Amino acid sequence: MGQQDRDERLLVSPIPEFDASAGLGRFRERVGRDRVAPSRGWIDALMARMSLARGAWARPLAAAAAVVLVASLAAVTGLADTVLTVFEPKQVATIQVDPRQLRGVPDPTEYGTLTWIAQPSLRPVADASTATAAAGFEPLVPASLPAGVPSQARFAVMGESKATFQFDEAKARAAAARVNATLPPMPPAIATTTLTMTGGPAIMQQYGSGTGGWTAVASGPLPAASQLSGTQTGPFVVIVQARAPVVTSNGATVNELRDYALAQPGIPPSVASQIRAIGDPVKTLLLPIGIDLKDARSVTIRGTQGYLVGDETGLGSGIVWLERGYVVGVLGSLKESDLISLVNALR
Amino acid sequence: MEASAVVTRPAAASAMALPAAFERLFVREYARVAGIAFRVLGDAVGAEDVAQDVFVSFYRKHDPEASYAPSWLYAASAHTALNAVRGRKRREKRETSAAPDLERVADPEADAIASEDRAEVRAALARLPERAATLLVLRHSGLTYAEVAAALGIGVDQVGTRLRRAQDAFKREVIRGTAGS
Repeated sequence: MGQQDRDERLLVSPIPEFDASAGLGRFRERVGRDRVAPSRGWIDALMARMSLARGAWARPLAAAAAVVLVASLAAVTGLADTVLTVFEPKQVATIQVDPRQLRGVPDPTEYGTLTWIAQPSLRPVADASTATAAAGFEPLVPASLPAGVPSQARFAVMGESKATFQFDEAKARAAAARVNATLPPMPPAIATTTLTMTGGPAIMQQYGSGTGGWTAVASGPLPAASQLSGTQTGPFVVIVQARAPVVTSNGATVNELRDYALAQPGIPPSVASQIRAIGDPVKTLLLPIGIDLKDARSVTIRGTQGYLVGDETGLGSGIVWLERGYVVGVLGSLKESDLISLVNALR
Repeated sequence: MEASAVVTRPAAASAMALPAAFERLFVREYARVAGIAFRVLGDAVGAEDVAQDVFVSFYRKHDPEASYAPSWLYAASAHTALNAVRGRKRREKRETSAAPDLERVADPEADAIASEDRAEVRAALARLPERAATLLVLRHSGLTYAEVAAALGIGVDQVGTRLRRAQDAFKREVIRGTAGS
């Protein structure tokens, strides 16, 4: 056999038939086991751009958010041991968190079993009226958009999602052991409690090259290793409006939940005191701000308090607030000042 | 393209529902994504592991209905598999002794030749520039010129010329590897 024949043969040897069904089964098992979440598109894009999802503090901050959520839904008083609406936020408030202090805090989301009754699923729709009909509410829309952002919108709707969280003391201890922590005893009332969380429906509007940017990636150079988990780029604005989440409890009183949350090992006293200082916790969505996250702060927007991350570079800014029973988030490749102008002109 | 065997690996019983659009994409593209990795690795199990990793990366960050999805998956599969080969070569260099292959084979001589061929392909591809190696792998995994062009972000009219250059470079690397062995 000549060298040329051999060279050709090397590259055309038979490829086995791979079984996609079996592969899909493995994939399902893996994402279930590793809790891999599907793309949230624009959220990941902005998070990546603003480095919110990166860095050594990402996990502690997520843990802080979970602690804050449990504590805030627990901090209402005067509710009896029945099925309670313990969390239905009407406003946002922020607390300062030093992520370095939270590295020894067990992940509260591992204190039990999360079961999805209806998973969030985003579905593209043709236009605003279709989105309104599907979601059951009319979204805020921008009066105008910053220069460079196309005015044509893409809409998507997410139906109502629902999940339960059943506390489990053995799981909680295992989670604590992974960070070399020892938990206080889980009160029997909490160990038998199930929280039910409902979110949405929601409408997403996207202006500009969010997904178009993805197309540009595909038609551009081969994705480098760093881009395999990368996201879209390009001028864009995304507006998300969702019915505020509601959480109910069938067992533990809110005081028990709060006290247990704040008694976890490693919770800094400053975080606990900030949570306890919230005036109306059942109506307040607490958002933790890492003290090392520059350009993140609480602001007044549309007559209420919001949470802003941004600057004047135009790389990316985002803001979240609550308005008339809806959580609204606006994100984009915008300067902070342009973002605020856009939000103030929503109608 | 000739098929030599059906590769099936069992999944665990516990599984979760995925977005329908993603499942459609997975079923449509899985064999091809794994095939691209196999073209690099010459190893079905390793190829499926690469395919799984590629789909996980995509699942985390991208819209399954995006028009670029297949191109992204193909390029990512080639890229990930090539990286795996380069990493493996680095590890092999560090290892001073290799464990003997105790696996029983029906035709030891044929298997040895096939194994040697696969090793030569991996070594030559690993030495090629990234884009040339990727182009070769994609084209020889059954992609059309248009699909190769989309995955690499180049014009269709450029594929032929670049492919010939890549093939020439590949042959040189094979000869170099043979001479050096």
